[in-house]
Amino acid sequence: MITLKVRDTLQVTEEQEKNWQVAQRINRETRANPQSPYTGKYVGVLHQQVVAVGNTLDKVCDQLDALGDDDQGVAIEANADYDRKVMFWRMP
Amino acid sequence: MPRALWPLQNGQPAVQMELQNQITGVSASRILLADTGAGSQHEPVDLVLGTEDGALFARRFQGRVVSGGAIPGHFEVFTVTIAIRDLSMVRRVNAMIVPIETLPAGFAGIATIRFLDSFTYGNFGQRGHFGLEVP
Repeated sequence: MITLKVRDTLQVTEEQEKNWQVAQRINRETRANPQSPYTGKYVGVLHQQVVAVGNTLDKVCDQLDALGDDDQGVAIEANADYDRKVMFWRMP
Repeated sequence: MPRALWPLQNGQPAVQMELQNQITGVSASRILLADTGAGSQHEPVDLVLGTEDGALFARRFQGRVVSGGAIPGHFEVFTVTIAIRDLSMVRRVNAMIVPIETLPAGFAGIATIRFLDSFTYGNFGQRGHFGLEVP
């Protein structure tokens, strides 16, 4: 039973996908505009709306948990660059 | 300052942490390569973990990133709760989940510069070791 539950966590739901699309737009807008109210913040998106803002990932995830979102919300760092390639230089 | 220090693993710097799933109560200790050359401060990736640990410990979907170099591809990022007891630290981090075969041999994953630089890191005068200290 537990195994089924945890395996499901790697399956992205339609709701998570929609929230990610909104979060990605907020992220790009924030990086383009240093005056954005989300600059330097973490932002939680649920039902395609911003529902949480905080200074740490833990705080925003706690706010989403408190809403009983069943992990459907997305919490992003507004200034992080999700479009930039993450490079790993070692040999595999 | 709280400090955690671990012996090098096959001559490479390593960090040891407990991965936790706060829903199922499952936890497991893992040794990750401490790779200051992995990623940068700018991308939202603190750790790289394999799909098996992802299935056990990943929780909240955090989006997708593109990865290059030794781990090329498009990968999803999830929150994972970690604990480092010697630092009295429990927190969520962003973990990129990748196929196990892309991880460095002998390690359960990679701690990127973004994660390592959230601490003071080094050997703290003890050759053959690598450690983290809470700033």
